[in-house]
Amino acid sequence: MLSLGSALAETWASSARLPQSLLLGVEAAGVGLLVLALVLARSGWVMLAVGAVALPEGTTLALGGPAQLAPILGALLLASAELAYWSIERRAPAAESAEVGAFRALWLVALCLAGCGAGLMILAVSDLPISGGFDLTAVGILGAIGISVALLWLGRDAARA
Amino acid sequence: MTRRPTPRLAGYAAIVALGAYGAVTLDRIAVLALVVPFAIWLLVGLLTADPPELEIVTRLEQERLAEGEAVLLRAEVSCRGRLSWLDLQLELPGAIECATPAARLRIRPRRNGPQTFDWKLRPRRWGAYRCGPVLARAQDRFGMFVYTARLGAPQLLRVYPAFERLRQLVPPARTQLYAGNRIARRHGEGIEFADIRGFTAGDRVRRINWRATARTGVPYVNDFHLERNADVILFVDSFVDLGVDQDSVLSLAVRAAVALADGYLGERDRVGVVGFGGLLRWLLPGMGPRHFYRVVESLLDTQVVTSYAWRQIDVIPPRVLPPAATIVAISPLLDPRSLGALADLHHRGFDLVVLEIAPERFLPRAGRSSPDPLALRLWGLLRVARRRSLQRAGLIVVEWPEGVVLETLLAQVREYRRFARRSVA
Repeated sequence: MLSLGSALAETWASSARLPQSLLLGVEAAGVGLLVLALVLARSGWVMLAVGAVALPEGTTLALGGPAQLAPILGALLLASAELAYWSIERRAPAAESAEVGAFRALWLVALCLAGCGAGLMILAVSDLPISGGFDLTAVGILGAIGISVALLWLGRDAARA
Repeated sequence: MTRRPTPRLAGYAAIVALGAYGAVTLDRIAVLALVVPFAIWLLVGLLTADPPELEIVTRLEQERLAEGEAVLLRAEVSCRGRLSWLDLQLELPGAIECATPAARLRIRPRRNGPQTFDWKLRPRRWGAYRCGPVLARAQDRFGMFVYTARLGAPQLLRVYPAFERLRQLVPPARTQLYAGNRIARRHGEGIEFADIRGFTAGDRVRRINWRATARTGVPYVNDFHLERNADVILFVDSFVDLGVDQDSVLSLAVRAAVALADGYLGERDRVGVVGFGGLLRWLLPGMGPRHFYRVVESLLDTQVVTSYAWRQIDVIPPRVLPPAATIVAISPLLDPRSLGALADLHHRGFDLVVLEIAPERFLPRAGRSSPDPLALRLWGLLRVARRRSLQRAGLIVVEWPEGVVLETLLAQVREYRRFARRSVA
C-alpha cells in the first residue's frame, strides 16, 4: 500500500504539470504493472514498473520542464521501489522480527532524504553562474571516469556471480 | 557461501545509467537529479556489501525421545558482517513438524555476539531422522546481494515408538539351554513340580517325596521342571506398506514388534529381529535391558525398499535363526515372497506364529482413490485363500483386525495352540 501510495503521489505530482495525456497513460500502465508485481510477488517486474512511472517525468525534464520537484519525485520513486521490494520479501513464509522492519524503514527514510538532498544540491550547483572552460570540463570528465571505475569495481562480484 | 545479485541491483544500475546518459546527451542536469536517490542507494549498497561470515551450530536437546513427545533444536548463530536480514530455514524430514515457531525464521543478526534460536520439533511417527542442516539466506543492508549457505551439522533424532505393555505373551514351544523364566519340558533343578520317580543314587535327600515313600515303602523323589529361557525372533515383513505416517501397516508392525520385544526381554528370553523386505536387516538374539534399545534402534530404520529380487529365507544368516527358536512374524501377507519365507521357516521346524495385519483399514475410505468395492472383495478373498493355505500347512495365522489390541491377539494365539493340541490328542 505504501509503495502504491508513493507511486500514485509521484503520478499525481508529475501529471499536474504534463501537457499531454499520452505520457499519463504510460504512467498509469506503470502503476498497473506495479500492482501486478505486488500481487504476483514478482520482484523482477518492480523496476520495469518504476521505470514506466518515471518515464513521463524524465521526458518532461528532458523537454525542458521545470526541475524543482525532480529530486523529490526521484526520492518518491526510490521509496515506491523499495517498499515494493520489501512487500514482496515479506511474503516469504518467515516470521520477520520487528527489529528488521524498523531497521529497514529507518534506512529507507534516511537514504530517500539523502537522495533528495543530493538532487537539490545538484540542481543548486547547476544554477550557479560558473562559466565553463577546459579545466572544468577536464575535472568533469575525470570525475565521470572515476565514478564509472568505482562502480565497476564495486560491482565486480555481481558480474562474476 | 553462494553470492547472488538481486534484481534490485541490476534495476537500479540501469535506471541510474539511463538517467546519467539522458542528462549528458540532452544537456539537462535535472534528469540526473531524478535518478540521484537511486545512485546514492546503489553506491552505499555496494560500498557496504561485504560477504558475511556466518556460523551456525545446531544441537538437539535430547537425541532420543518417545513418540508424541517434542524436542527442542537449538541453533547458535554467529555472524560477522552487515546484513539486513537473515532467513534461517531448518530442513526437516516430512515426518517431523515444527511446533513453534515456524521452521523458517527471519532475524536481524547481531554483530556483538551469537544469538540462540529454538525450534520445537514434534515427530509425527517413530523413526530415525536427520534434522538439519539450516538453510541460511541473508541479504545485505541495501538489498544488493543475497548470500545462501547450508550450515550446521544435521542432528540425528531417534523417535521410539509408543507401544502396548503386554501382560501375557505367547509362550515359546521350546526352550534353550540358558537359565530363564520359562518352564522347560525337561526335568532337572527347578521349583515347578513335574513328577515323582524312584530314588536313584545321587538324588538329594531333600527331594524325597516322604508321603509316596511312606505309602509304598520304596523311596521316591520329586522331579522338577528346569527353568530356561527361549529364543524369540521377531520377523517384520517390510515388503509392502499401506497407509500414511503412524497409521500404516509398517508402523503397526514395528509397534507390535517393540511391544513383543519388551515383553519377551522382560521374561529373560533372547530376542532377535529379522526385517524381511526389499532390504534385509537382522539383529542377533540377545537379552537384557540394553538389548531392548538395540532392538528398537534396529526397528527404527525399517522402511519399504522397493526390490524385485526374489528373496528366500536362505539370505538370512543361520546365526540369526537359532535352532528351536520361536518366530513371531508380523506381516500383512501381501507379498508372495514373505509367504514363501514363512512357509519355508515352518518347514524347517521353527515354532512359527503369524500375526496378520488386516490391511483394509489403511485403505482410503472416501474420495477418488478409494478402492472399488468389487476389487476390494476379490482382494479380501485372495487374502483369505493365502491365509488358509498357510493354516492348512500347519502355521498359526491370526488376523489382526481394526480395533483389536495386541494382547487380545496373543490370547487368540494361545487359544489356537491349546485347541490345536487338544485336537491332535
